[in-house]
Amino acid sequence: MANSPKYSDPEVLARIAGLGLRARRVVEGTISGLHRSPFHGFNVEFAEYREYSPGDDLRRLDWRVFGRTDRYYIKQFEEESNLRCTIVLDASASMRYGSGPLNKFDYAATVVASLATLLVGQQDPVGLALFDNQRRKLLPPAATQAQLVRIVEELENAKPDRETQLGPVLQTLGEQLTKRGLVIIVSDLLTELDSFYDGLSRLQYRGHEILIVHVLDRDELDLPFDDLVLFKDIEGTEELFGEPWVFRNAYRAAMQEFVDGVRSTCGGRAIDYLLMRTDEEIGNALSHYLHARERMQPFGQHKHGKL
Amino acid sequence: MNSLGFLSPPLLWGLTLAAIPIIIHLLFRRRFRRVDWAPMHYLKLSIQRNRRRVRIEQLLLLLLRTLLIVLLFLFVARPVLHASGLGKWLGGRSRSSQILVIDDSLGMGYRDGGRSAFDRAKELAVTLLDAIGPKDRFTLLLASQPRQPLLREVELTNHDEAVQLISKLEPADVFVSWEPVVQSLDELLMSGSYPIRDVTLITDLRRAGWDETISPIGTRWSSQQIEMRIFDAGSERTSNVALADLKQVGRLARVGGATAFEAVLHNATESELNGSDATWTVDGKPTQIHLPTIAAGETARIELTATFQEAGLHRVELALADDALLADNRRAAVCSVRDQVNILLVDGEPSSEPLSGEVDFLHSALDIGATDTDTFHVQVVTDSEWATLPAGDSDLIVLANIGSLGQDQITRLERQVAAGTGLMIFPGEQVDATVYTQLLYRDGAGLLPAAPETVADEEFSGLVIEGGAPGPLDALKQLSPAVLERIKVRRYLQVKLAEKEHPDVRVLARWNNAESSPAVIEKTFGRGRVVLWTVTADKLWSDWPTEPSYVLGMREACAATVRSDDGSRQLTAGDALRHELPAGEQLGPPAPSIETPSAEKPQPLRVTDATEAHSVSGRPETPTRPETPATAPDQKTLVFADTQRAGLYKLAWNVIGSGERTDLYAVVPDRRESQLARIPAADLRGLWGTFQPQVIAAVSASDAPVAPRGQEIWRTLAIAMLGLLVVESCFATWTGRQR
Repeated sequence: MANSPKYSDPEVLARIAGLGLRARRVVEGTISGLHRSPFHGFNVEFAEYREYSPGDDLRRLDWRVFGRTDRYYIKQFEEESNLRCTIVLDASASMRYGSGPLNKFDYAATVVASLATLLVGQQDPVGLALFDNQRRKLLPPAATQAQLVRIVEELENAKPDRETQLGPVLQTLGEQLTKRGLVIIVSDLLTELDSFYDGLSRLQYRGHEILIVHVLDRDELDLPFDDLVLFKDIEGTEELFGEPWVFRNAYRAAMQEFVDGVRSTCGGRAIDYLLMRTDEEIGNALSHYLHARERMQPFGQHKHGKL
Repeated sequence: MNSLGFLSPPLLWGLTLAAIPIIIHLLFRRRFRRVDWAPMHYLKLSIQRNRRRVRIEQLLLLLLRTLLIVLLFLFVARPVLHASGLGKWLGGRSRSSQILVIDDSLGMGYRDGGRSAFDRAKELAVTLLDAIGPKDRFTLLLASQPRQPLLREVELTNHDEAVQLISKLEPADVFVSWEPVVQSLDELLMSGSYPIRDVTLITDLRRAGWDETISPIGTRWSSQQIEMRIFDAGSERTSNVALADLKQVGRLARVGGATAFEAVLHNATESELNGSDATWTVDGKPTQIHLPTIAAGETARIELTATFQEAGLHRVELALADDALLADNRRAAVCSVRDQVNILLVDGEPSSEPLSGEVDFLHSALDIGATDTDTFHVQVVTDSEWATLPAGDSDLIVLANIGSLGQDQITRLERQVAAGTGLMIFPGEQVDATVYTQLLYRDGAGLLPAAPETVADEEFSGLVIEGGAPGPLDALKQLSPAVLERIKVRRYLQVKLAEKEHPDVRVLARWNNAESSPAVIEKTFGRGRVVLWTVTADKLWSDWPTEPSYVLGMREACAATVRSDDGSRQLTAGDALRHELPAGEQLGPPAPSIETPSAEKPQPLRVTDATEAHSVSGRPETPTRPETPATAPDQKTLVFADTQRAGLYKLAWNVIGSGERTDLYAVVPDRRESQLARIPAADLRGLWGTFQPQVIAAVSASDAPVAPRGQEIWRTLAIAMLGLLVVESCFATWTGRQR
């Protein structure tokens, strides 16, 4: 099916009741055009030996065969397509905010379900971790349709609540994910950033590849209010009464600084960063990112070796 | 009539500006909303970054708005700044109608400390001129001429001209009644150019002239934007010796005879007036006379005499020694000296027999005396002859037992008497009391002083002369009472006096009967006198004509009743001078003129006809008496209104066919101005009703209250407010912009 915005438009998606169906619409409508998986697994399977030729990576020499035969052979592997992916979704109260048809959590859940659908469709194991100020739910990765159903079920049943404490959650998650894989963090990142960066470091130390999907509402970036507003902290009790037009530019600058800071930090740590606004078409945004990621990876190559 | 008006209706278009706040409100109407907000950290961060700047801006806005409120209340309070200081700069463009009234009445000439109240008033006026801005409308008014402002609604671009005008002013010899002055002020204020109207009055605070008639106007002023200051330039002292009156005693001044004058002096000092001299001037020849002692607070009457050798107009003057108020120390009078008095005796029952005619005894009495023969020129006519006789120049007409009188005769007679001719009426058998009552009494409006009723037959003896003011029969008082008691009366005319005493009617003598019936009654009619006798002129009803006292009584009565110029040539300063010419007299060139005490050259006289003869005075008209003679249609009147100065006024005019004529009038100061009692400031304020003028006691121009009151700066404040409003709006918009 050709790219059709209407299937991934938040307004259209909002009218689709089931998250699973909503995700399929996104995947089938916009992402299914991918020629191969943009994600690559770390597990490789032995294919055959061939004689060493100068220039080959010496780390691929099979020293056992050399011991037995006194000849140099290089081990060749087949790429394994099953990628272990864990999606970490922020379910704190701040994700409840939404000015459009989908609030941030609904939007993020749709993104998560879409990614899960895509990955399971590629036979890649996918898991889910829901968190607020602590990890709420953890589904270990699996590549079955039943897993996809469970993920969708968990997402539908989840109610965003409590405050965001992403850093400690990532620390804990890093201990629990024993096998290397891809960790996709979907959050508004309205949390304590230093702790969050420490969590990212921990995951990277464990060998995980990380993708951050930063979900923000248009209001949160633009502060478009023209009325007097009483701002009430969505995760606390603090209230601020103000004239938004008085500090709008300053606020926009602060938010831009925040986004740029996260993007810059992620770039410095080789972490993929994707900013998604809740009024953006999910399919387009994902498709754009996945195609870009596909182009970044040479065919048959893997950063850990030849696939 | 609409009770609401606008001085600047075009400014009402400004009311449309009232829609601006509503439009702004609708455009910028903002609702309050509540938002559950996630990025509170970044919100607080941005607010914190803005806080210092917003605080400064809010402080500036607060200052601007506070200043606006301050200016608003200052604006409402109408601040006034000293004109010579900041006020001149700030209030230079404020406009108001300024009226300055200077009291120039006679009393303002009172000197204390070497300077008169009028000198101080002028000094104050010049000082006050400094407070008047170049855009103000200035009116200068003298209290003696309230309807003729010296300056009216002028812009004082050059103060020097006004200063010069004021410095040349001199006090007049007039009395100022403040009610007409306030009325004129009211008219000037109502026609003023600007809504801010200030009146400044400089006076000496003498009580004379102030009364409660100004209260209604004052009450009305209190509800209008009118402010008034009354400066007291007078002296606390009231000590004064005044020559209150100088007049001829008797109506007739004969050539060669001693003419009596009476002067009235009032000593309003706290000490006895003793050993003082005065100057008595007759036709320019002064004589020193010694005044009698006059106790403090007392009034004395002094008899003066003058003998004139020629017929015509003569002038006399009495001048007292100088005191604080010079103007009331001197009075002049004009005396018309006669060499012949024309008496017309109208005999209602003539007889060819000696002493049998109705007026034979009277004629004999008037003819007695060689020296006086030339004075009384007697003409006897019958009633039928009198009816056809043209109106001549009779000085006295005597009607004796006239039975019938036509309406034309009565009208002519009334006109003659009103113009000064004397009239004596004797009853008789032919007199019909009813006709006389209807035609000559006319319920008191006619010539007769009392209504004839019936002829009473009663015998009694005696005539009693009434006391009181000097009268035509005063000479009889000098006789022994027995002389008058001998008069025997057999019949007399009973008369009925008006129930309400009339000021112009008085009984001169009464019969000595039980009812004390009036014997001789006098009435003043216009400028003439009417004397009604209740017995006949012959001896039919009484034997008085055969008594010697009859001769004296009749001669004195005639002399006191004849036409006289006494009083008609004396005017009070400020009253218009009117000299009526004989009917039919045609004026020829040169134009009539008048010599006055104040002008070096003769002034032109105004000539009016009968219709406008009484409406030329510069002062409000005083009500004329009903007996004022009606002028003939072709009668001219010479008029001169500017009689502010006391002294002699000589008129000159030419009559076609007769050549030059002259006349002389004496203008005397108003005696009311000699009453120098002061009115307290509280009493004066109380006369104005609810209006409360500011009464300021200012002895000299250096006193603080006299200093210029300054300029209102409301216009400057209004501009400042407007500017601040614009600044505030711009600044508020700028601070409320998207940041």
